[in-house]
Amino acid sequence: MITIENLSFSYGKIPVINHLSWQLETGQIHGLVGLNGAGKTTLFNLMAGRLKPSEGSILLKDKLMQRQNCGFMETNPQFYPMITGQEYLDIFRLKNPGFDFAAWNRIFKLPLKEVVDNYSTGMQKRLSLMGIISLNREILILDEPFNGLDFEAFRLVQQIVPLLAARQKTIIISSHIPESLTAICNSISLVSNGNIAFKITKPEFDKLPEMINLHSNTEIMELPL
Amino acid sequence: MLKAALLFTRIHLHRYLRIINQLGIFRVVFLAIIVTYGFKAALRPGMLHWQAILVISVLAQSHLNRKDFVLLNNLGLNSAGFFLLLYLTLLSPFLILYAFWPDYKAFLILSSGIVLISLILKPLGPLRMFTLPALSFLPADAWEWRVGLRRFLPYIAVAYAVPVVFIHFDYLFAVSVLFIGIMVSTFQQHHEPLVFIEALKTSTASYLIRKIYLQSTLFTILVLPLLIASFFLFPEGIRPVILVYINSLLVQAFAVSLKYAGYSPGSNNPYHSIILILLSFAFVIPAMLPIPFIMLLVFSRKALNQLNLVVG
Repeated sequence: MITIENLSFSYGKIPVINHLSWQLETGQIHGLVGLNGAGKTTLFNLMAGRLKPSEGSILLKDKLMQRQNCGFMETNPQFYPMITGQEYLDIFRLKNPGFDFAAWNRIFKLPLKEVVDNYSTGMQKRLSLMGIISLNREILILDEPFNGLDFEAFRLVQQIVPLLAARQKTIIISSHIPESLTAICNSISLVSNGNIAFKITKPEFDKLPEMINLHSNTEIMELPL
Repeated sequence: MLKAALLFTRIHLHRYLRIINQLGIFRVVFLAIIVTYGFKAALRPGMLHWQAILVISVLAQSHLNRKDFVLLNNLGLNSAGFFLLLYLTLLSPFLILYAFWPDYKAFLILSSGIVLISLILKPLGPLRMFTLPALSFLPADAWEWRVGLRRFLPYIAVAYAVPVVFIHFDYLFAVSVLFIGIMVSTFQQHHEPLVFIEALKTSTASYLIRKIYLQSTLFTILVLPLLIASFFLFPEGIRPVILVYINSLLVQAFAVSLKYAGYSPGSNNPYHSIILILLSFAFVIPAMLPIPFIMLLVFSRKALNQLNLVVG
């Protein structure tokens, strides 16, 4: 179990995560939805150990979660200019020399000898995901992995994630589009104003649009002239 | 960690070679001449520590602008020890040269600079305060300047502060003009979306002229206080300042032409900054002085053709 208790974080005087508590079962896929600025990425950064909370704790199996428990894929993966796909993966090989990149690339189908600058957004995300998977971490945090993906890459991610969960990985995925999560997640939570507004499990997913509407203020009645 | 530092060094060196390869033979020869000339000039007595300061400022700029926090964090490498090893390896040719040079200052500057930079693991907090002003007094079509000034305001403040603090060194005015010139020329490496151009409802020629005018005028306004101060404080040393200013002014116009010669909406050309830096130093070798002007003429034509092609 991942237990987040009373977590708080502020950028200067602006609170972004506000006494947030969240419990996640390990070995499952957990979705996180929320408006822009709701605190999704900040929460992920706190979980990945990139930021230090001002208050509260994140526990994994009753012990403080460490940076090396997590692999974090950012929304827009950053690559050094003119680096090849192979060179990028060689960096990850430092942590896991036994990882079979060639076998995995039969799934990801990336031109590894090409420089990443020539990759499409979908290819860059696939490369980043392969790097994160190669770390063989217990928890994978994927921030908006579906953003900018083409149809094929979208389906690829949707197929890979449940297979990783079947290997007892805990996967936490955020998305702006709740429908992209319902097919693969065991639970979906909504973050709003720096806190978890609700968490629902698979049998309740049909209530998701209604619950999101309840917690967001985006219903448009009329267009201006 | 040493293994990681050596791997990163190898990867970075390969990347730099690829970037140089992209520049083409003409620019590489030009780069080689400038670097050799600059390096030779810096070997004169009392000059080597300036070279060390230049190396450290390039390293600091690259370190403070790095975007690999998540990658390094995932690998557990976002640590002072890793950066120290990486930078010591990358800059080892300079360190070895300075270590065997009779003047120890350059070695001290470089080694202490590397240590200090390696200790910075996060973006600097106070610099963020300067990213806030909206700069709405700038013309709306000077979008590069609105964004660029917000990002580089602290560095411009440093460029102003240095000649003020070291008021007796007349050449620092020229250095600051050069530094600001290089910085603002890189504002043009981001290509705006097509709708920005279409919204102005003007011909491509007028658009290009307007952009060159804006870039040159705003650069002039930005460095004018330095030029005036230099003129009043060191009238006998104004010539080099003016030379640097005129050269930088041509580079500004060229930066706009270069951008639109390869205009592709929404794209980014970080390698253009290498060419712009090289041309900014054209004044170092008198024979190279006309090059920015010639390049401006050649690329203005290309820019017009490209704009006609893309905008129609």
